[in-house]
Amino acid sequence: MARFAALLAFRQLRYRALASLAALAGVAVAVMLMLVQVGFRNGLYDSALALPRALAADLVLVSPGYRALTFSPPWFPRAALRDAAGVAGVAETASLYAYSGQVRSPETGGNLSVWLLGIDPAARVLDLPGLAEAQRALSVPETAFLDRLSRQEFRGVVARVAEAGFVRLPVYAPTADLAPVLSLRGLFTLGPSFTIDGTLLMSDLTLHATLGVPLDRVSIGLVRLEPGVAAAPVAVAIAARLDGRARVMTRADYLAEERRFYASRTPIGVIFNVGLLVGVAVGVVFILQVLNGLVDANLPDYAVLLAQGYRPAFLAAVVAQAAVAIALLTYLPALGLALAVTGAAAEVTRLPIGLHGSDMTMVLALSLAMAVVAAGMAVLRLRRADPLELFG
Amino acid sequence: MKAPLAELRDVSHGFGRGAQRRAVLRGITLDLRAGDFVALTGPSGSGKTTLLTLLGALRVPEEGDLRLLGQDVRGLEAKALGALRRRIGFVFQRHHLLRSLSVLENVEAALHGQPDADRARDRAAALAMLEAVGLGGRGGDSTALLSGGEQQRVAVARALVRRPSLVLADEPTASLDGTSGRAVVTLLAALTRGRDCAVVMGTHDERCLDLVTRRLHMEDGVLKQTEQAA
Repeated sequence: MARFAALLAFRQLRYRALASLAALAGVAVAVMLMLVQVGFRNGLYDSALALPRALAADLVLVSPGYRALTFSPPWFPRAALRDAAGVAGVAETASLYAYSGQVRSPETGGNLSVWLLGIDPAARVLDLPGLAEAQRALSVPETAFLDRLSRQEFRGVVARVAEAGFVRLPVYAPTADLAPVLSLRGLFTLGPSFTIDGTLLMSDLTLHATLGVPLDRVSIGLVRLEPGVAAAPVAVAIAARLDGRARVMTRADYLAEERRFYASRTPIGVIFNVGLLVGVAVGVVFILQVLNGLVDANLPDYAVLLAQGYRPAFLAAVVAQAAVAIALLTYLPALGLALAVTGAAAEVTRLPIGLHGSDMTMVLALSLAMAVVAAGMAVLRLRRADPLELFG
Repeated sequence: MKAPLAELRDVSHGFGRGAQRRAVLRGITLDLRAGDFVALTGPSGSGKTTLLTLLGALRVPEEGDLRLLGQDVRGLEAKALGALRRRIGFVFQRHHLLRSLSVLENVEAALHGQPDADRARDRAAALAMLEAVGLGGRGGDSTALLSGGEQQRVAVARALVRRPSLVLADEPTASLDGTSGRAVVTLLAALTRGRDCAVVMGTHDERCLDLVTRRLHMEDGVLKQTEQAA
């Protein structure tokens, strides 16, 4: 009987395929928008998490008022990091200074937003490809590296650094009489974010000289543990020693908190989630439209089946199978379109916009949920199927 | 003598309430037995269709007793009602074939709901029934490719394929020309003859009355006369 319900659902859908084409296209577009939303959201999360992921740390120390790395992290005293270094199990510590700022484009003269990162060139702070071998060069005053994946506004600068090995870049510093100038002498690989056009990496001393920021105020403290030491107990021990001067988190907790911040605390994260829900609602409406058309067109057929002894539950199964078929049939073209759109967007923005396998599965599950909801509403129309209507 | 397949005792039915109330059937008493091929005649509005819907277990009479295939239809659960309807075959005035299914699938559809359904056996039965109605080889066709007479023959095949105990035909010739209409009724009579079933055919078509074994005439909801055909 289930086999016949599936056959009937598929045949009825096929019979009305042309009449339902616009609504079926609507379902596909709704699913595509959901996939694109997820792809863009991944771009937000992955770009925002690129730097936190690159931190060479087992434990992370931040200010008690810290929200997220790219949201102007408040500082905490460097003395707290020194105290953490004295806790049993800690192998070494390092500091990261992170400030947002602006530089003047050498090509257009316009201001570009940048992320200025300061590190000790002798310390392991960021695990990025090729950086460990190159970062000693940052010891030269006024020297900085530019992220080669910075947005396209920086493409010309990246090309010139790659070719000439040297580009001068004026920095906007509101407190300085003369704009400091950085010497770009190398490239590294990190990637842009939604809010920042590019990233500059320099020594902590160059950052101090450029922006005048005091080096006893650390943005992120990095703690590496001795081999085989569990992170959680050391984190508890450090927290007890710091007595509220800084917050300590394991690497996993830190990354989860960063992601949570963008998902639920920033408008852009909320917008993506709302966009996803709107996609679900629109999808339900379009699937319902196809199903209602299907039921209305086949009421006499359903009445015949009732007269033949089929029960209303069988008719509900036909409608449910049609709904699932709609979800499955529209998913593949929607996925193809979404991959094309997110691929093009990633190419233009250089953001890590894209879909993971788990995202595709999640949206497929949402599509099936849409189908179930729409089917639940459409079966109410089956009450109008009446065998008595078949008599002349 | 075998027990009646349908027993109506003083059955009355009507529609509407209060001043709008209209009695459609009044005091119908009737037995239908295996081998009966009954023509139910009478003018429009005489109650033929309402009587057919009662016999099809699609309605419950307001008054009187109705037993179908040994069961009192009043108070039957949905599941039991479905099982009862599976033992009744319907042929409607318009064929009401399922447009999205092929000819063969329409006939098979009548068998899928059976509790003892068997895919291979059902297909063989459906093909045999299509052969019997003269449409062997047309099973894969869309129903839209058939003429009106052929569509009604498929409807007959669909009604008979599960060997029902009761066959109800509502004006089966009304939308067909004289030749096709007579061919359909002839087929219905031939395929039910000798089977343990009764056929009731509501009709205005005088040309087919020589094919029936019994004629019932209705007027104003009353069974005026019952005559045994020659």
